[in-house]
Amino acid sequence: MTRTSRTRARLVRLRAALLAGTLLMLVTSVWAVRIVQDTAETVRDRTTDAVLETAAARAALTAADRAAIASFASGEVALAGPGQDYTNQLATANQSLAKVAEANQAGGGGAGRLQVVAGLLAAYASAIGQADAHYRQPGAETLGAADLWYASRLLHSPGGVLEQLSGLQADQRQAMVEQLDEGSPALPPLWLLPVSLLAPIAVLVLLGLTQWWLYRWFRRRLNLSLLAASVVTGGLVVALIALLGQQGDLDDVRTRTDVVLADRQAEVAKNDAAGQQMLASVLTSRCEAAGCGVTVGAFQTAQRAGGVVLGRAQELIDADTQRVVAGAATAAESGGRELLVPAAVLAVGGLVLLGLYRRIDEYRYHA
Amino acid sequence: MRTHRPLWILLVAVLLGGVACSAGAKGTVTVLASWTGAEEDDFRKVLQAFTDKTGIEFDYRGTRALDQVLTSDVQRGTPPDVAVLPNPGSLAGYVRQGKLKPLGDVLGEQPTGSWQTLEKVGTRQQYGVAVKADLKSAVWYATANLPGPKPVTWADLLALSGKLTADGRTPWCLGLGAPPTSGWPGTDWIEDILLHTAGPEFYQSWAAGKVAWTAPEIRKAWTDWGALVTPAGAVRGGAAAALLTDFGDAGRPLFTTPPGCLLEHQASFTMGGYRLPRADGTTPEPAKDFDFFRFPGPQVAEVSADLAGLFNDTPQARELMKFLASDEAQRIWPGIHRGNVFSVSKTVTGVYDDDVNRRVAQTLTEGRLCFDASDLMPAIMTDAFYRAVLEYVNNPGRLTDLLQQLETVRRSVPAVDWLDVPCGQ
Repeated sequence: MTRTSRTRARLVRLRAALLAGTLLMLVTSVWAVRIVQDTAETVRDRTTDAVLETAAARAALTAADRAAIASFASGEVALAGPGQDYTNQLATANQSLAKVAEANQAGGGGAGRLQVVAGLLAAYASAIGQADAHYRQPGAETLGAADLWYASRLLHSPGGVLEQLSGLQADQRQAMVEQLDEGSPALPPLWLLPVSLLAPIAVLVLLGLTQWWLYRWFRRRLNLSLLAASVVTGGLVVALIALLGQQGDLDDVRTRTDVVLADRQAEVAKNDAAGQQMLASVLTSRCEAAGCGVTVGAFQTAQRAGGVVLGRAQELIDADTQRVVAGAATAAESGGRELLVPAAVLAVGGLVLLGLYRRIDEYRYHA
Repeated sequence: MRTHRPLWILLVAVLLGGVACSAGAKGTVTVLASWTGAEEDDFRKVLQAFTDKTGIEFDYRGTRALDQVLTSDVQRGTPPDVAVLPNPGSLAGYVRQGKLKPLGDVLGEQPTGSWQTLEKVGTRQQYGVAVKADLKSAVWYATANLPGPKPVTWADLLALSGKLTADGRTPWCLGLGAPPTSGWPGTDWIEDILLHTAGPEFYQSWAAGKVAWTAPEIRKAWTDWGALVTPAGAVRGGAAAALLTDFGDAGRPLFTTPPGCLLEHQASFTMGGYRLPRADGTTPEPAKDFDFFRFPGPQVAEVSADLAGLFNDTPQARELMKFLASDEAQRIWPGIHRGNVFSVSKTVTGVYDDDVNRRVAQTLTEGRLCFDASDLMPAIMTDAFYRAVLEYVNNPGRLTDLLQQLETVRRSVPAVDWLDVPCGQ
């Protein structure tokens, strides 16, 4: 083989290697953009909703229960029933649960819990209705108090609505953690994301070596096409590193979500403490001297032992929630990356072809 | 060194394939029931024994909202292979819809007896297998505190209750709270009184919606119950406490010093609640610390059961139904020795540790048995019955109105919605 034919063969091999690297870069960079974008969009559109609305439903239900008990304790029930606040909070809880059902990320287990909650909530609303009817009926106030107690137990007892929602909230949060750690189940895991940098870095190195070899072999100035390809590939590396930063934004969403969940828990504890202490007073007023029986006796003792619980102001909880929603939206902002990245890689391929075309062409008839 | 990569790959593939085949070769059966928590753990032991024996895997789902989940699954056309329903009324509903498969050719010849009649839930074929059963016609007491002999007749029981009340000792523990079905412990009382005073045939007709609630026999059952539990001092804490106490807590004062109440009418599962640690750290034991006497009157008993039904006729589901009906499976749960789970099989012996458990088991497998009537009634009637009990305890003077309202509900239910399940014998 002559020196000329060896040069041509080397040029063809270099072109093939660069194109193969470009193809690999296309696959890995498109994959990287897709998994981050898919995860961010799922978290923005579904997962944060599922977690936050479950927590909101819990808080609204304890507020509804507290409002209903307050109405019975104050005697307002005689004219206004369980009250407007009860009705509003129950409606809010139902709206939140409808959103959870739509965005559910906890699979069949989550759907099953929602079915249990729906059944128990229907029974809860019915028991409050019975309590209302009995309080308005002369001589049936004690039965009304019992109905109020039954309703509250449907929320608070083991296996009741609040415990079910607590479990559902934990399941939805776990789903969020898994999505943020591992990405969409249909795609490779997120922790493989740095691997996507290998192909562009390899192409960048190969472009540099090619440039150096061309300079040494042909004593030419810089090959502008290959230089442009190097710049674009470098930009691609920067874009992929920025993508890793976007994953960091998603981690912020998780942290902020935990802050909101803690806020909601404090709200639930505050409503519970106030509502259940009022309920203990209502029941005491309806029992005979011998007491209210074993179950309510234990409940009254527990309420006497409990103190006042402070929660966070509603506006602060709303502000934290808005921060989660805004953070998730920001993390899902792609800036057209899903189109720009493949376009840039194709441009690199074109520039490689263009940059080596003249050199290879020069040797076409020398082989 | 020369490597043998293709050979290794082939070997690994064969091994993985073998593992996969062995895991699913015999297939899987899906099971739905209402048991969660400790009960789920116990039932899983029964299912695990099935897997160990047959190699068929199980996929168990336990939910408190069994009715909603099963209804939804059936409507979507994806029912579980086997579901265990907590009352025969629900089972019969699915039989009517044609969703359950008869078990005649699955189980083959079955021993005759009360349970064979009850497992037919009013049809000509067997549709259910009782996974566990409870005796409801029982009055419980702490052995140290029962004054005098056990009552044998209704008059004996009335006299005992009256004497205790007159002596300033509270005879009855009563807890009607059971959200969202509060009131059912009272319906058990009325059913038991009616069964023992009017007889099984009348009881069956009433449960089937053929008797007016205003009939004198039914009114008498209510007033008989009222004679026991409505006098001042007859129930611990009075009517308010009875309404506010959970059924599971009602019997605790049996074991306090001094006792808060002396007698409790409750199903056999109540033994699980009695065996909780006391303030002094000891745990009440059957026979030594507590016992029961059968409801006074004729030797007929009210019972309830969890019944397994076959929704998908797959070979795996058939195997599970056969297994659940076998003595081998029937002895597992009672054998866990929690003292509150009973088999319906006469031939399951040696798993009950004490005389109390043995007598409950004997009652459940011998003599005449009738299903809990409220478990057989249409849901709207059952709910009204529960509510009427609460209303009656709050104000016994409303009985005439309540019976009239119950009768209005009975008349509104279409005849086709009632179940006619004879008592077994």
